[in-house]
Amino acid sequence: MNQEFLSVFIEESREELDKIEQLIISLESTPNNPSSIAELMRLFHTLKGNARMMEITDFSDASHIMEDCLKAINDGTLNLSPAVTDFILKGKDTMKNALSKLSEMKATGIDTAALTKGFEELKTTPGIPAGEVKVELETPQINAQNVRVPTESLDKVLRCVGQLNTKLSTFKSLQESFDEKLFNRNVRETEQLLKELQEEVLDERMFPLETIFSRYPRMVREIALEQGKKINLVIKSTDVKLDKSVLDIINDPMVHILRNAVDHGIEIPDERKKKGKGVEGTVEISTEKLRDSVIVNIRDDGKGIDTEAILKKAIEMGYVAPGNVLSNEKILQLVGKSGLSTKSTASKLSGRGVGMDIVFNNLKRIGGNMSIKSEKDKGTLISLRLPLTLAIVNSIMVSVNEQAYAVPLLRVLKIMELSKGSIRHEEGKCRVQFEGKVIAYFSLGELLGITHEPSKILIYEYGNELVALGVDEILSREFVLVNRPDPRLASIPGIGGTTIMEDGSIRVFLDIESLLKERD
Amino acid sequence: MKVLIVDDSSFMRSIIKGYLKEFPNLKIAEAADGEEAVKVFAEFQPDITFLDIIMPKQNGIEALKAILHLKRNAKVVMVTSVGQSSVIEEALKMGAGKYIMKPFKYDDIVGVINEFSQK
Repeated sequence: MNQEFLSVFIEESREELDKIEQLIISLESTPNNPSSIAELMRLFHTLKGNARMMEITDFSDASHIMEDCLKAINDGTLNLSPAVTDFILKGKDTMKNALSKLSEMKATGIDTAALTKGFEELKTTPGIPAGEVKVELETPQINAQNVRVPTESLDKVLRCVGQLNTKLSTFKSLQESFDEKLFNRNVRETEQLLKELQEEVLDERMFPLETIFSRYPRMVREIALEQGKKINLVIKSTDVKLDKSVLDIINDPMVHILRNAVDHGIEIPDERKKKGKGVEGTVEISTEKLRDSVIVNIRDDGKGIDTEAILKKAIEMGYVAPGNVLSNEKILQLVGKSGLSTKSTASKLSGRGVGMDIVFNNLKRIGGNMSIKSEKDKGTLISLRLPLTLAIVNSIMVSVNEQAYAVPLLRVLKIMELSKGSIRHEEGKCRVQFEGKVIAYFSLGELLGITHEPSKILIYEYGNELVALGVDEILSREFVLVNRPDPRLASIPGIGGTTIMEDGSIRVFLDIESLLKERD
Repeated sequence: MKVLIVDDSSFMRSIIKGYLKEFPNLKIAEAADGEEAVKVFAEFQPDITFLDIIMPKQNGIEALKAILHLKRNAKVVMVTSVGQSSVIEEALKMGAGKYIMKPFKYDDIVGVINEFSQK
């Protein structure tokens, strides 16, 4: 069989196996769903047929065994017990591992005799308890190397390139005989074309957040079975898409937080019963879309974070002075500090809590943030704020004491003149009037620790409020490629990144939120 | 000549397309399920249709019925797997021109085009 088709075969088979996993897990909670069973049969049938075309016999044999298993469930000769689900999931994992080996031009390693034996055993002794079938879980991965791009998108890109070539010809002709009007029009149209091109390409870098969510039901199911917990994982559907580089970075933190919720958070049924809770714990993942970022919330109704233990540990490690009284909120902010684990024995699943500082740093690296709310015996809510893209940001360049900075334009609602009398001082705070309301005023220099004389105000959206930021001059409006700062700089409030200007100079891209938070 | 390839597997469609490169002047359209196949057939008006049997939304037999309703003497080649002999019998009775079995070879696909272009 032609090796040219191997990568197409592998790619499609991976997708089908992922669909199989989702379907079989959802089928476990709603077992009498004929359309899901039919779909599972169809998927294994397709995998079998495709593998036969590729002459990969053991892969097609494995698909055949799985298809037979689904047929037995369909015709009622096999009940969909946890052991049967485990068998199908194990078969799916075996086939997925085989694809990885094939992509490295190695043998699949599928033991069809073992699968056949497993199926026979299921048919003859359906009472095999779940949990005895151990499965190696792979960490969900995004395929970061390749992207599937619809042909319409490529056509659009080609059209833009074609039009840009025309603009170039116009510029060349203007070299010979200059016409200012034509030149300016050409510049505007070229700018517009570049913007369209950029948007089209950036769009193809965006992946649905559900790409990484889809692996979680399986992971939570396995941990719950292992620990004897009952857990209902609710993933609220979302149409949010993120740049694939952001998805790559948050995948591990998400897995870590989810494992924490299941391992440390949700109690065993008896414990929950004693607390008057339902025996089944709930872990819920939801998202909120903001203008240029996304919030991912992971909420559980477990025992909450033990803030007393964290404070004790923090004092022991010298992060907090003894005798200090801290609010719950302040204690929870310490969770990201290195070494702060209060679980005396690390479970193999979530480690000693050293992961949370890495989670936090990973997020800062991409200009994101994490906040934690928790209440004893009620549960925990962890919110991750993620930028939509790491790449190009529409920015406004401002000057503060002759130094230029980039500010994200999306949060800037309006730019106004700042006249001398417009700043009011009330209760030690500065305020200005804006559209009939009184809002807080800060000079950007003050936030940066620089003395200056602002003459312009940016009306900036800060969470649910508006804030006025004083700057000296508005220099320009540009799309800039933001480079995330070195991790050693990322913890300094205000540094959202850097950008390299046309003349080669480096400008700081400001993280206004962190500057304002420091003031708070 | 126009050819419509209907299969829920994009991998399978790409194999058939690959084999059809033998005929550089062919125009090719694709569909991933029976429902889409009928719509595309109506618009594209292919000379030959390769039609898979097991597909989501509408299977090959139902799609065949609808296609023959649109064009009584449509040239449809059923693409079948082992164990579907009764389905194939039904399809041929309904009016499908012929069938090929998966896993098919290059000659099977090329043979179909040659055969139908001579008729």
